[in-house]
Amino acid sequence: MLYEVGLFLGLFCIALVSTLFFELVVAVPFSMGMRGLGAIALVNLLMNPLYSFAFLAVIYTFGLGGEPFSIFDWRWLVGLTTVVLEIVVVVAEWRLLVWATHGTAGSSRKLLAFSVLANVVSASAPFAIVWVVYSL
Amino acid sequence: MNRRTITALRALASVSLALAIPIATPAAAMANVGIPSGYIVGRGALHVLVAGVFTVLTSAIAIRGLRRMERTNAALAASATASAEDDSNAV
Repeated sequence: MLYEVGLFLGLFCIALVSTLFFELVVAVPFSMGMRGLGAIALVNLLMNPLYSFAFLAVIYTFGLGGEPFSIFDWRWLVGLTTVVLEIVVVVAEWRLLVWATHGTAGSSRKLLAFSVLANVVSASAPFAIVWVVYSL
Repeated sequence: MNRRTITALRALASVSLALAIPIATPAAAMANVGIPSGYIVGRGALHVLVAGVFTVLTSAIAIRGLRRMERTNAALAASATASAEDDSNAV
């Protein structure tokens, strides 16, 4: 049981650290300064575990039994949940960054562009890495 | 942390506990194909509880940091506005 708890916490930490890494890399060309980077780190610390928790809750509630038993098709469930949660996260991160930085990291439009790009990259980068590794 | 934040974190903890219940439904279906339902229920509930605790802890740290950052940045923005007004008055 302790092994499973450790494994699960490890998975959550990997998701958080990898998202943080990709979002900070995307933030570099936006030149937000140290305050902006700090705000991004804190916003991710808030939103990423919430995202993972919501994803887990939806998948476990509607799809734990696998395809023959789940209410919805497994692939549709994962895809739809990912898209809906990503949209919610983009909007939430944008508003939180605007609120926390008070314009010290750039305009609201710039923060929205960052939020969209950072979430697209952080959501698709792991798939791209796996695709590249498997195609070698 | 203020009252609303604490209430939100408590609600999240309650949701993570409540979610352990619907997991029993698909687990009953799994039991029909020979997989012990107790294992699935226990495992699923454990995952949700661990995730809930982790989320509550990280959210508490992040909200605290963000509130502190917001206060600092608000003061910075206010002083920048004040100095800009002083400059325009001097001109």
